[in-house]
Amino acid sequence: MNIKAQRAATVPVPATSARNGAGQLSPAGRGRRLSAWRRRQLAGWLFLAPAVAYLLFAFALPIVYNVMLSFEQTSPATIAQFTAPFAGAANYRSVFDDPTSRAAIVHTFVFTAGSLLGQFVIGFALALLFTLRFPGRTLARSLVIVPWLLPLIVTGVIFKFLFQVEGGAVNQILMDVGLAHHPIDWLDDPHLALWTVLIANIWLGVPFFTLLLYSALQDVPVEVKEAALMDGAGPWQRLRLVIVPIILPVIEVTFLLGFVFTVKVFDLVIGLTGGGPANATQLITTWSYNLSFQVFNFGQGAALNNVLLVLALICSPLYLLLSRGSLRSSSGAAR
Amino acid sequence: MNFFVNKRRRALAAVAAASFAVVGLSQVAASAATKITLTEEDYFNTPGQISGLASYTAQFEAAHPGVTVKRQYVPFANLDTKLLTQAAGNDLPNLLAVDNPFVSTMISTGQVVPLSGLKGFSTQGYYPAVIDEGLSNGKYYSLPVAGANSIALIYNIAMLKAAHVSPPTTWAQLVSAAKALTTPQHYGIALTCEAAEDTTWQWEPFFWSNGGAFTFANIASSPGVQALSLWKQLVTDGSASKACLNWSQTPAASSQFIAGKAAMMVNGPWNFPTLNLNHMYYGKQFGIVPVPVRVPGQHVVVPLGGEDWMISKSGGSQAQQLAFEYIQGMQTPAEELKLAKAFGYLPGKIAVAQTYVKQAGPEWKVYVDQTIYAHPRTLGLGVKYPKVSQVVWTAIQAALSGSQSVQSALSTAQSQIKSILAS
Repeated sequence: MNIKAQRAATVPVPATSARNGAGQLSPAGRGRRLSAWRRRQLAGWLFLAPAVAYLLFAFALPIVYNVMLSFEQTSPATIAQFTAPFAGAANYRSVFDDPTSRAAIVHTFVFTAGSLLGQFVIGFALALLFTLRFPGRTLARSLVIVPWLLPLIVTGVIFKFLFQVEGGAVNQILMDVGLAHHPIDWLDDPHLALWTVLIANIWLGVPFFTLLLYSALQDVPVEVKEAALMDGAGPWQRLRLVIVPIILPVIEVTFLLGFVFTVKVFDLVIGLTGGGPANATQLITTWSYNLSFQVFNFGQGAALNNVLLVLALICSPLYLLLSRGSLRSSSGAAR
Repeated sequence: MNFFVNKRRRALAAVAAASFAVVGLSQVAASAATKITLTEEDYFNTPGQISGLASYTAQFEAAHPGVTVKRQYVPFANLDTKLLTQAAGNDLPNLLAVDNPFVSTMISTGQVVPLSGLKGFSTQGYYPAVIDEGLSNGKYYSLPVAGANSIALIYNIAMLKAAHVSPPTTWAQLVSAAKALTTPQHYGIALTCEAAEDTTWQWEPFFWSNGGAFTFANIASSPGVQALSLWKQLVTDGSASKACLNWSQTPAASSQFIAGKAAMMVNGPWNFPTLNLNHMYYGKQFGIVPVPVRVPGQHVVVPLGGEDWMISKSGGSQAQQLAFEYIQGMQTPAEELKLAKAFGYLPGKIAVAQTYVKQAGPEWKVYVDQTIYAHPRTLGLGVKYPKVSQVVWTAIQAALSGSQSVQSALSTAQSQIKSILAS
């Protein structure tokens, strides 16, 4: 948005000044024109100012403050003075020395990778399903977005009920079907709890993947599919060699956005396990919240959170690159 | 990411605070000290608490013409963070009612005034644990809001009768009673072992009564190992559900008891209204005994819960003195009785608590009797308490979930606690 605004404001300016230079104007007139050019330049900046102020206030300020905080030795005692003693890299050192913080980083990677994979596979399968004509298709399509409409904390509570050891619907069904002989400790077993949270998050993210991939599939030209059919391509070949390459840019962007949504999941874990049992489901978000607001070590909380910041800094140029690529390829398709 | 949001909120709060400060100044100038507004923040939300506080405030305002007390409710989960944010902006309310483990943290912000320096302050008559909650460097910073509370063993009379067991007083009896009380329909006892402070708080009577240090420094030696092995045994026996790893004390564990899915629970008097609402009355459907001890003769040492009043530096000496009068007015025997009843708490003074048992009923007796041995959680630990508590509940979860043995979970915890205490 910023880039677009900047381009809109600056691009026409050299064009007009060039035209002015080429025009047959008296030196006096040229002087007047120059000040007009400056005025226009100024107007451009003025129009830009609210956006810049907003970006500084809403994005730059919190990020800079968070980075500052991560290098300070903070405690409730220092909160009343806005600056705390400089701590060097001590916060980062203690974060990386702390087994729970390290585990939280690992959990975040497992959780994010697992979620994206699960969401993509199920979401793509559903998207393909919806391209077929079958009765109740519209209803099914609207039902798919339900998980998206629920507040995360509600999802947390629902899944807590579903996965309860006793009386939980999941164990009941598994035992009735004969897949399990005794109730499974979905949420109370430290080795299983992260997977349970993962399942809940996959369920949450499927609508997003389904919707985006479905709309991308709608855009695949019928002629191309028919041509592939004429050439004797089977369903699997059509999917792998024709459809996927065409919608690949959308898949990439969907993955990237999904990554951003997943890496900052917080409410779901708080609602389901609170990070337990024995920190088995602590993610970067939940553990940094805990460091900051349960034990009031704002410096360490900020330091851990900056791991997320680094991930975001890696991802946003990637997103710009990919979305530009997808723009180019879609305009190419139009040609 | 939410961390950023909170930072942003802090910036917003600072802007809002600045604008309020301007408005406030103009008001003071206009009214020239005849009218004064005291601001107050708390998280009280039960009907009894709200009306109890409101009627006291009305009474106070009538006795102090020109003084208004403006209450602001902040949900429990947000109050600590909000107060810290306000402390950062030198914008605390005049009066703050905080959960007692948070008192030390508030003191360390340097934005609250010691009450012992104010005219008319006295520590006389209080239970030591109640008044010591606000003790820091020889100064007292707080007074109880509506007294205090603690936990004891609440049992289902009919279920105990059916199993032919009497209420347990020792750990051995607790284990055998819980086993006898476990049927396909219900568990013997509902424990609380979620990843939160209430798990540490539930375990403290077992650990402390057994000779555990208040700082938890000896958690890996026998007092701790025995106390955690007791819980572990209840779970491995099948007398307590392993689902407790996600149960809060109230409402999760308490609703297991109320729904008849557990024959016993360790819980506090704030459950009485809910129990009564579900047609469970003391002496008929439920009984109360102290938390069992390992061997007869040990004192039951319970942690003390409840909220404390603190006064902030904002507003100058006149506002501070008025705020103190507001708090002090609540400390008379008559007001203590009224408020304790409205809040479902125990009065903070020994003599008043004894009167209270006679008035409010025998279900209070166990809680009142054990308060003399109660311990305020932050005493000696101060701002380190939340960190230590987290290490403790993590060890409890590790042992009960089976990810570590009792001994190794506690050894890990002890080394972490040592480094917290040394920091």
